[in-house]
Amino acid sequence: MKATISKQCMGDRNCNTLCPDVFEYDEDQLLSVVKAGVIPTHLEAVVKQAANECGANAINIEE
Amino acid sequence: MVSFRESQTAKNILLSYSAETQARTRYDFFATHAQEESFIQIAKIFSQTADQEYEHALRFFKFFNGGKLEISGTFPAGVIVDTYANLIQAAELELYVHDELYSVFAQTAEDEGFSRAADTFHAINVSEKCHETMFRELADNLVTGRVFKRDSEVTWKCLGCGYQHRGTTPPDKCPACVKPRGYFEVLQKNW
Repeated sequence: MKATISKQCMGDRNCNTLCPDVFEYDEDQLLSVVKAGVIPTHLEAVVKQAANECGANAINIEE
Repeated sequence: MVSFRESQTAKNILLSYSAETQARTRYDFFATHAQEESFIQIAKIFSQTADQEYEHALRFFKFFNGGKLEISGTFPAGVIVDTYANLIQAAELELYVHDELYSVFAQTAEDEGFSRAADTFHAINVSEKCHETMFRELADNLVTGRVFKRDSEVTWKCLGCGYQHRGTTPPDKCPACVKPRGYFEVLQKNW
């Protein structure tokens, strides 16, 4: 599974809080970015949760 | 493009965080004072507005990955006088924030290429303008005697227990929970 973050991100950082191993905040872009290329299997559920909870609907999941 | 950390926008955002944090605290002071003066509706509105300023502060805070920045700003030192003066003070502060700070900060953010920050300043400005209008209307109600008196019959609701009363004025005491007149507000239904 892969995840990407679109420019719709509003920098609310919920994903960073939920899963800091996958998401981090880029201060120069003022948005969150994905650190991991392929999401480790044990983090897939929490990444999906982050996508569902994202207020800006900015996290896209690719199975 | 300048890095965020070295930009004027970063300083402006931290200054805005400071302004929101101060506004929140100030409104909590004013809420306490309104409660003491038995203007319960106004006390609740100050408290709700303090919560909204908290959300703005959090929004600005989240732009940073920690660290420190030196900023300089001018803020009213203020005094707690009476609820009318507090409402006017609050309105003036809102005007200062949306007119002299955030409008300018939004433009700077655009110029520096931080459009997300600019969008946030514009969006928060919508709230601050509404706050200013609300505080001025509440102050006007106080000075014109409209807080507890209306020209035509309305429904007054007790903020203590929910008791309702029809009339141009609320009762001196709530017959249900014995709270004083200051607990009544004009009933609003928005559902």
